Amino acid sequence: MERHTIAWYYLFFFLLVVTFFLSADFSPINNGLRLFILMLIFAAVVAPGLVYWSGRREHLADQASISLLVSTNHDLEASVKALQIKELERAGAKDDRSELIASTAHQLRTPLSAIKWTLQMMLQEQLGPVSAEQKEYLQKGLDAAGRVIATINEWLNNDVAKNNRDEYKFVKTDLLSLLDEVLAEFRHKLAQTHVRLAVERPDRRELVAEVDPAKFSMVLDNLIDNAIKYSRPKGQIKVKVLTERLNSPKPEVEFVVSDDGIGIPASDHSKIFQRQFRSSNAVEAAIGGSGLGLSISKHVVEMHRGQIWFESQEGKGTTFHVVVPIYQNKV
Amino acid sequence: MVAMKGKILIVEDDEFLRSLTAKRLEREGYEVAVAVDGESAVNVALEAKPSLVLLDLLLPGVDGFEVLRRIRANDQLKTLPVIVFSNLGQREDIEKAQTAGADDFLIKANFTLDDVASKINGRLGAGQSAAPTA
Repeated sequence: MERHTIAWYYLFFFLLVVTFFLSADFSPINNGLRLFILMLIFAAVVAPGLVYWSGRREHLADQASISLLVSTNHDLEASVKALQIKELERAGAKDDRSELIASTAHQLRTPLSAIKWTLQMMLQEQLGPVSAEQKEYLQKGLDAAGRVIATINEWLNNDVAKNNRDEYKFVKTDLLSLLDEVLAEFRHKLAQTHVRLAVERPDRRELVAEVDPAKFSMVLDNLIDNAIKYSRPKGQIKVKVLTERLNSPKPEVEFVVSDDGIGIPASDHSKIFQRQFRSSNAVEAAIGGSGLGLSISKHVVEMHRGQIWFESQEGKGTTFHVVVPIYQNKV
Repeated sequence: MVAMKGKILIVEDDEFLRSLTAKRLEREGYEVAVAVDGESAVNVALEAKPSLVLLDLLLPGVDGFEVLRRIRANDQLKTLPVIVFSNLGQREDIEKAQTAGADDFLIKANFTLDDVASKINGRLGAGQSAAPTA
């Protein structure tokens, strides 16, 4: 029971006693004063009633508020449920979109493989003799097919690289084997462009780190591809694997990919990791590219809690560095 | 360049890709056997006794992953080298193929048939994966 209600009970009891005395014949007070006091008592008795009644009104108002709150709460719950459904639909749509991209890529890659293989076999005279002039056209056709394939690959990579860190699958991976797999894909391109490749690797059988192998190989692939692409004919690219910081408190591996190619103008240095940015001299040199590769690489390296940076001098070449920690959960 | 002679089983449903691959491998000095779907692949492998299988993944009916599992479950075929040669290439596909027992995974569009030939030469010649040119 609330304190003010008890107080009203005491007051009411006190007033009853007073009324009893006032109404008694032995009371010393006169009739006028008695009437005045009785009116006061009446007011005192009515007042709590009025207060109680208004309290009921307030209580009724409270109930209305509560009903309102309940219905608002229901509305909120419905909205939350609707949002959850939307979120699930969005996630589903994202899966659908990724699925669509993957299946479209597959659909496009199959005829492109046929075009690429045919042109390359003709160029190599594996399907009969070809004149020098015909070879030139075949080479252009082959380069064009290669550009479409590269664009599709970047498209796939770009979709993958939008993932958050919790969508990464970090597994113990031998980085030296991973690098070998990446390099194997460039054998033909190196032969074609006459760019020489030197690999400096540590003197050890394997180098295990926790990476998402598919995504991390995209980074190496992109850096090596850029190095070849922006090299001059018969240029030299170097790929180094540095393990000096392997026994430090925060063990990490560094990959260095350098070329002696066209370099990046100083004015473009701050923009090089921006999405769809392409350096003016790369565009001038008519070197194909979507401008997505480095922004994807940066994202992937950062999701690995690593760092990526570069040094470059226009006309002299570019060196990219990627540092990746050995452990993902002890960082 | 001259490889140890051997027989390569090409499991590929696309007629044109299959004929180009066969032509290139024959030029390389290999005998070629072909299977056009997953269902017949294991039987062809048992009959032809190839030295290596070049296996596509998306095939009508039984897919390449299942062919790989059947090859690995067969006593006569379980040590047969299998190179998956597909245009699928998402991480899940590569992992699934590795789990099923693939020795290598090549994405068709990213390689030329010359690369495939030298990969096979390396694997059959040296009895292991070709060392990358560095």
